[in-house]
Amino acid sequence: MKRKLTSQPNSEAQNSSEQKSEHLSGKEFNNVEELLRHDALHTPIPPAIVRRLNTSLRGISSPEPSWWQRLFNK
Amino acid sequence: MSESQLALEGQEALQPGLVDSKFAAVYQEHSRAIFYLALRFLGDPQKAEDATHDVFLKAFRKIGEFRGESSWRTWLYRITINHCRNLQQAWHERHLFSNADEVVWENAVARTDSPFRVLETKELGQRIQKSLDGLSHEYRLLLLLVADEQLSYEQIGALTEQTADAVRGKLHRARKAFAVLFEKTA
Repeated sequence: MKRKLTSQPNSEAQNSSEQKSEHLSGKEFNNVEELLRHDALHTPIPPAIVRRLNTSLRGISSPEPSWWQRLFNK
Repeated sequence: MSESQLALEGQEALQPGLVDSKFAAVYQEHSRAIFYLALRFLGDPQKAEDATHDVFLKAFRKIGEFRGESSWRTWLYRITINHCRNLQQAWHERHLFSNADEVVWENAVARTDSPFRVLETKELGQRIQKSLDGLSHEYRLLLLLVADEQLSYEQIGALTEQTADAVRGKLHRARKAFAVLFEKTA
């Protein structure tokens, strides 16, 4: 079952930047999936993750490729 | 700029030399989706950050087990789902939390054919999280997975251990439940 998710139009937002306009006038979503995709697109990944991974990976040696990976990479 | 380009904009890469270029590319392409799934499934930014770190560390250690029978995205999602479920199980054992009763959503009246109006989109993330938090873990996960256009119903079924038809049926109810909850957050 689908539901349209919209926001109220706001004429004051029309001359603002794209981001501001989006905040004020909102967007229209045809279904929940579209809404979640929009949310995902606007949810940045914290930079701390890659920094923590870099630190963690320094203490780990690269895993040896399996026999079949070695075979196919040749 | 395409959506995928927008998603990658400003995203930091793994340090060259620590991992091979393939794993670095996998991280670059999929880390955002993994973080989003963990964030909205767990409902806690710090836990989602920890989970994403742990998932990629686990993936790095297990990369020799990846045979290419599934996509990288599906493989990483499987690790993420298992990791998040373990976290939630431990949490629930401590808090004896019960999920929302699905019967409520079955009987709820949702005006599914009329527009749903919100004043601003800046708090959209909070409203989405609040709505997802009210769903059962299964419904929450199904909605998050189906929102990823890279996954088919068959792949979602494989990830959640059920048939594609079962996924379709449950998604129908999950969408309705989400719509009812989302309306309440307005």
